[in-house]
Parts: sequence; structure tokens; C-alpha cells
Amino acid sequence: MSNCLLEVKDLVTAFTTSKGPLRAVDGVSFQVNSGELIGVVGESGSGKSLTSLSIMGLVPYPGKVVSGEIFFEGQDLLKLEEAEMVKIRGKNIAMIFQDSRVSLDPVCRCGEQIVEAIRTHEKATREEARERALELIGLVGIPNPARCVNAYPHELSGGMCQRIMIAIALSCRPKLLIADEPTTALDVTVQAQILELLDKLRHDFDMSVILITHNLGVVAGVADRIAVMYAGQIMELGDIGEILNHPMHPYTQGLIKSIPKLEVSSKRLYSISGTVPALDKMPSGCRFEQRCPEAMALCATVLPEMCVLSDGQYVCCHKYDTWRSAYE
Amino acid sequence: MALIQIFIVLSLVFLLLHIMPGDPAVLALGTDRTVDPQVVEALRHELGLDKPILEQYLIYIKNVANLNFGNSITDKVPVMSYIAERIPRTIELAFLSIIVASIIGVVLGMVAALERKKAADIITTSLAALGISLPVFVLGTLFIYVFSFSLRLLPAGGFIALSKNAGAHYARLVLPVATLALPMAASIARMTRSSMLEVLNKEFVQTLYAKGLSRQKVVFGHVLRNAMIPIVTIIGLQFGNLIGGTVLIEYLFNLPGLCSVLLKAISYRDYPLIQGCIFVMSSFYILVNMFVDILYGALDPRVR
Ligand SMILES: Nc1ncnc2c1ncn2[C@@H]1O[C@H](COP(=O)(O)OP(=O)(O)O)[C@@H](O)[C@H]1O
Ligand SMILES: [Mg+2]
Repeated sequence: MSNCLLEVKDLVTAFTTSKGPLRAVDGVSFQVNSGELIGVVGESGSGKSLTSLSIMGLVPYPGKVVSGEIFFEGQDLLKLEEAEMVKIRGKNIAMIFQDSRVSLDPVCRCGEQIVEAIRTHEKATREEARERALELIGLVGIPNPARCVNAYPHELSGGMCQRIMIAIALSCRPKLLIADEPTTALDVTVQAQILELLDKLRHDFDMSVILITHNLGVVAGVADRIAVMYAGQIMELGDIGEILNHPMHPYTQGLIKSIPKLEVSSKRLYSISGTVPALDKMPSGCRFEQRCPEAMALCATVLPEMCVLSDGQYVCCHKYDTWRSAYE
Repeated sequence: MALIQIFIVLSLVFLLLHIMPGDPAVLALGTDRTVDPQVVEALRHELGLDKPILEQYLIYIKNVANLNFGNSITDKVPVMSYIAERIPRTIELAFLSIIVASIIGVVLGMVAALERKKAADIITTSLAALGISLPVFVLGTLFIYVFSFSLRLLPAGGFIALSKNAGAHYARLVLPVATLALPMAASIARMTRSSMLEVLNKEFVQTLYAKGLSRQKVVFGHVLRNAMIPIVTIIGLQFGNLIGGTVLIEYLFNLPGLCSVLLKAISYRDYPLIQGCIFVMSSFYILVNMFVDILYGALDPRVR
């Protein structure tokens, strides 16, 4: 596609352990187009954070990107030196994290943290940067920006801290914003406000967003496309409306069923039985096989291939083996 | 707050000295058994030791408030002039030691934290363990043996006034400062290392990298400041202890500082001198703690 901003190809990220390398991200491929908001959904431990950290070049020790390619504006980020990555991080690709209150430096004033982000990438005087920080704080919907620049993170609420995080991320007008569970630590009402804000800002700033969440309900209203991840692999990928209406993968179907709905709050919340397999106990077949209500004999032994259902809709499940493989 | 602390310390000192057996007047006049009881009585009167204890206490507190500790029993020199003469030497030794220890400790600790799992870390941690476990007098003796007797690089001790000969003055300080600083540097290095490692694992560090900051900017601009509180605490504690902790060192290196005064005062049961020394030492300790508390507030907005 011509307007492709980021393309992740066959990414493998593993932790070096005494038991050998454990692949926490195992062959993930997807792309992000300019201006689109793509949701990455999956239970905790499915490798969503690690995928985004791989894109940022910030995989924590002893993790390491083992293979694959990550093209950003046609350039393979994995081939860049750290000195070059430093110029891209925060400038072209920005990231915000789950718990904003601990994601800000506790001994540094909020305004100062935005100023630092600006001055890291741009030649601005302190005064210019401060002015822009003030502007950004207003832009992310914080009432009384002048007070907020001088506040320390512990003096603000979680929602306000997340807005500061967003202001930091936006400070250099990035082309891509990765938001890793940006609303998980917040109250429901604040969650909705932050999502709305992200959606509005991506249009105003004309940027792409990767929105990571374990709650499909969070991205349902804002995403253009979603990627459903499970145990380090993408299970289903495609248009959000298409997936919500016609989920193909049994895992996606389970996730949709477990979205909490207000009207039926009296009923017990559905959840997929079982847990994500541990990294050192990955089955050789389909990774969802043990928890899959529709598992077949084949599923236990053979890893399914990604199939193309229609233009831009992909699923990784033996149920659809008769469809064309994505690699043909 | 600090004043109340000092007051309590002084009262305790007063109590302790009066509970202890042995008459200072007798001691002051010498251990000779044939001392005239009348002379003893005259001295007791002169020192106010014949008054009721409560009255003695009130007089004592009033004098202390005016920084007047009276004269030394043994040689009649005013206690304050005694202390004023000796204390600069002890303070100089303490300041130099803590500065040297802080610089070495923080630098070593940072290197160890940043070069985790590498040779530098192993060397630092084992050096630190050695430095902490070795008593200062062993270390001091070792230094004197190696650097003075064997290598003949540095004088083994003594004191020459700064105004007389600056070079010789500092040359005589090298070994005592090194002896005092090394074990302190070792604990400071250990604390710096663990505190830095803890902060490096915090989530905000990831945000800093995500902003595009280089490793140096992350470490020197943010991590160090966040790691500073436990480091400042341990430096403050050691500095506070140092003013009394130099006893052995002043003795070993033959430095006429405050501690040598204290030793002499104790052996002669020289009340005024003991009280003066303890007043100065505890004030110093309390002031250092107060300063550390102020530093906490400056370092961490959450403490304010
Ligand atoms: N430092 C680490 N050492 C070993 N395994 C890790 C480490 N960090 C994460 N993992 C493992 O990697 C997998 C993916 O983690 P993550 O990307 O954080 O998942 P998610 O963000 O989807 O919840 C998990 O199974 C987790 O246990
Ligand atoms: Mg995560």
C-alpha cells in the first residue's frame, strides 16, 4: 500500500534464559497506514507490549529482537544504530504507557518533562519550549495549564498524568503514537475521555496510532482496524466492523463475548476458560488449541498458517485452511 | 526541634557524669593519697560540686545557654578556648574524609550499577565488602606500614599548621583521610549501586528513553537525582558519626584534634571539658541531621 507508515514483518522477540531463548513475540506481521488507528488486542501476556517495545527499540534485557524487519517510512528500524534510533524515538514515533503516574519522573515538574522532550529533538530556547509546553497542556484538555506546568506528577490525578504523557508524546508532532494500555489504570469515565482525546488528536495531528489493550471494548469505538494477538502471534487481523460483526477466529469470538455490557451486568461476565500458556510450554500446534472450543485433531500438532479471507482480512486458524494462504 | 534534642543530650550527660563513682576534685588533684582534705573541699567549692545537685544542674544549663562551660579542672584553661583550638582540626579531617568518601563511593556505585554483570561490578562489590568489614585501625595501621614505613611516601602522622606549611599540612592528612574515607566510600558505593539499580528498573525510565533521551541524559538528568535520597541518608549518617568516630584515627595518626581532648578529659574526669566536648559533638550530629532533612525536601517534592 502506498500510504503505509509502518510495516512489521515476521517479528520475533525472545528472552534469553537458562532454558534457551523463549519467543514472547513469534512471527508477528502487520502494517499501519498513515492516519489510521489500529488496535492491538489480546489477554495480558500475549506479547502486545513487547511488540511495541520492539518497534521502539526498547526491549528490556534479557529480551532481544531475534529476527524480522520493521519498516518505518521505508527504513528498517532494526538495522539502525542506537544513535540513530535516539533521533526517531520521541520525534517520529512516540509512546505512552499504562500507569501514567509511575511513568513520569516523580521529582521533575510536569512542564519541565515536556520542555525536555521538545528540546531533545528541536533547537528551541527554554522560553519557546515552555510556551509550547503550556500550549500542549491546554491541547490535551487540562484545565488551568499554567498551574499544571509547575505541578509534580504526584499532585495530579491518574487521568491528568496520562494527559501529560500524551502532551509529552505529541510535543514533536510524531507520525506514529504507540499507546500501550493507556486507559487500563483509569476510572471508566476517565477512560472514555482519554480515548476520545486520542481519537481527536490523531485527526488534528494527522498521526497514526497503535492502541494496545486487553479489552476489546476499549478499541471497538475508535479503531479502524484491529489485530488480535494471542501467545505472541496474531490470530486475526482486519477491519474493526468486519471483525466485530463476523469474528472468524474462536479466540476473537471469545474476546467479543467477554466484553462487559451494561445492560446484562447482572449476569456473570463471560471469560475464556484457561490461561495463556507459559513461554516455555508453548504447544507445537495452534497456541490456542488447549482453550479452543472448536479444536480439531490437526490443531494439536500443526501450527496454522495465516489465511486471507478477503482484502485486508486475515485469520490464523485451521478452520479456514481451504482459504488461500497469506503467503501465496 | 534541634534545640530540644541538644537540651536532652546535655541533661543526659550531666546525669551520667554525676552518677559515675569517683570524685573529680580528688582526681584533679592527683592520685596521691596524702591530699589534704581541706584542699579537696576548696576545689569542690570552687567547682560548685558542694551545691545540691538540682542547683548544679540549673547553673549548668544557664552556662551552656551562654556557651560557657567554665574552665578545665586540670589546667584551668577555659573549655571553649580549648575546643576552639582543637575543633578545626577534627572538622577539617571529617569534611575532607566525607568529601573524598562521597565522591569515590558515588562514582564507584554508579559504575557498578550501570555495568551490571560485568567485571567493574564484581570488583566494586567485592572492594566494598572488604572496605566495610575491615576495622579502621587495621586499615590505618596497614596504611602506615605500607605508605610510611615501606614505601616512605607519606608521613605517618603528626600535625603542622596550615599557615606554617600547607604542603606538609596536607601531606599529614592524606593517610588519616584515606583511612576514614575508604570504609565510608565502601558503604556509600553499595548504597549508590542498589539505589541506582532500583530506580533504573522504574517505569518512568522507559518513558525517558521513549522520549528519545540518550543513556547519559537519562542517568545524569533523572536517575541519579531519584536515587539520591538513600545516598544522602547514608552520607549524612556517616558524617554525623565522623566527628566522634575520629577518636581512633586521631590517636593512631597523632593528630591533636577534639577527640584527643575528649580522651584526656575522660581519663581525668574533667567535667567541664567533657561537657563541652559532648555539647559540640552532639550539636554537630544534630545539625548534620537537620541539614539532611532539608536536603530531602530539596531532592524529593513528595517529602515537602
Ligand atoms: N523481563 C522478562 N523476562 C522474561 N519474560 C518476560 C519479561 N517481560 C515479559 N515477559 C514475558 O513476555 C510475554 C509477553 O509479555 P508482554 O509483551 O508484556 O505481554 P502483554 O503486554 O500482552 O501483556 C509474557 O509471557 C511475559 O511473561
Ligand atoms: Mg502489556
